[in-house]
Amino acid sequence: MAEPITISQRQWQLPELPIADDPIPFVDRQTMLAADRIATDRIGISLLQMMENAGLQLAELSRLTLGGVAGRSIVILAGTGNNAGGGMVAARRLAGWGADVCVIFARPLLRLRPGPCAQVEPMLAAGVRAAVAGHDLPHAEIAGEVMRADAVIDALIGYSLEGPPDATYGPLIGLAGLGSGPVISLDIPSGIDASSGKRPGSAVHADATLALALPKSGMSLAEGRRFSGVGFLADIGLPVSIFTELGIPAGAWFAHGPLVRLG
Amino acid sequence: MGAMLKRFLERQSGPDMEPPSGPPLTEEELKVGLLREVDLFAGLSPAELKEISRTLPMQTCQVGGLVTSPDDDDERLYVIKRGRVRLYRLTPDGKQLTLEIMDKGRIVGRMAWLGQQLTDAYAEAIEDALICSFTPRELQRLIDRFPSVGVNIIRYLSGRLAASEREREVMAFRSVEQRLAARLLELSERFGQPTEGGTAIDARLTQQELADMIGTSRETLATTVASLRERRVLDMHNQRVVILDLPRVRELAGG
Repeated sequence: MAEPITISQRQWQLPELPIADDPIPFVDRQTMLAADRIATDRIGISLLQMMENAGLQLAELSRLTLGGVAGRSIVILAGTGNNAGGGMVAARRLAGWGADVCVIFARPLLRLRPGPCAQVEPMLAAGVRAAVAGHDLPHAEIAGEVMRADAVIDALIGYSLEGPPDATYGPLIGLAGLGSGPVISLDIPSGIDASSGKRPGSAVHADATLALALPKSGMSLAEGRRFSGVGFLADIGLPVSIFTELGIPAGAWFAHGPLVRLG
Repeated sequence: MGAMLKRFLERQSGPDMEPPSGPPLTEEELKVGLLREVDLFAGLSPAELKEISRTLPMQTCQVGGLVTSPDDDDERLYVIKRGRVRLYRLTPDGKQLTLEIMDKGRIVGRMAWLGQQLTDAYAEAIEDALICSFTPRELQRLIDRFPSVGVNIIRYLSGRLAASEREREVMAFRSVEQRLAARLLELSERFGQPTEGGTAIDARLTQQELADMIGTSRETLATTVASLRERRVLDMHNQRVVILDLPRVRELAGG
């Protein structure tokens, strides 16, 4: 008699987070850029503050999804911009909570923008493993890391990308979905246009996307809809007045907490 | 010269130095102090470059050889003439972490007064490389002989300064708008004249001068002024600033 086939139980589940009572508007790239400018140039909320908040909520969503991270392995794919900075903060926090975290960079470290660059040292001090794809770790070994991982976080490219991703991102985008764990994209799946939802080249197919401040319209349009998976939204501390100034109706989007599920 | 370097480098007579070329440094490169040959030797004639190449020792470094490492105890800069060099550091668990891939025309090494301080970095040839190097003393001699090298260094260092100011600005808790408001308030107390619709400051300041005063770039100042103009807080025309909403400027300056 044949052995019964046991299907291993999925080791993760996206959390049942509250949905905001007020409708959450979706914004395009230009609006988000303007909001970020008002925050940093006028109000004086520094990039590092926003990055810290984004990374903490990303770590928290990952923790909730895995039902605890102690002893679990998490791979974070990082580009060179602020999205990568959020990913590195998440790496530091997750390592602090007992996870085995490996950050794979798409480019050499000196290509990082100053904000994310400032995250490298604290991240390494927290015991996070790090390697630059192709230089410090061959792609075959990265594939192994991803396949063994309990979760993969996509912090390659943020909302500012227009057009297809740079060729150096291609291999990592291709590897992101190799594992059996969840793929969580930060802000917008890498390769998806934040405004139009179009996919001009390869893109990360996420199980969940954690949008920052307000979700980008690309999450609900064209291919972005399918590639984003389940949408979540994180409060990164931007006052609502920034958005009302930009003509967006205000709402108590985070009345239930700093992490909400998009309806 | 450091022990490691001695092990890997073998001296070779230098071929003629080609005139330096390459795109201008990006802001990131400036911030981390990635100097290029073109920054040092721009504007020199082929004959002058030839003369320099005769005075600076030229060396080859084979694949896998270290050009420089934190173990080197002397200050020396290395100009990559041919081949490629990988700059890396070690993580706390002893693994290599790649910082940059550098090719022809890039400069690695340590020299405090040029702000080259990647002290924990190793530089390894990933293709057979041809490298020339100089010490602070040799650079001093070059400046004596070719003053334009000195001028190039000043230009490079001011570029780095501006880049690091912009960086501080992004990280700063006090925004450009607040700094501008504080400075304008100060100027209006000294030069302010009541005028139709507000207080005029006839200090004859260009946007660049104003930007310099508050330690920002002209571009950031222009964006900030445009935003304040849009909100009818101030107006700026022909080097004349008019404060339209003095209470709001006071409020910003105090913030």
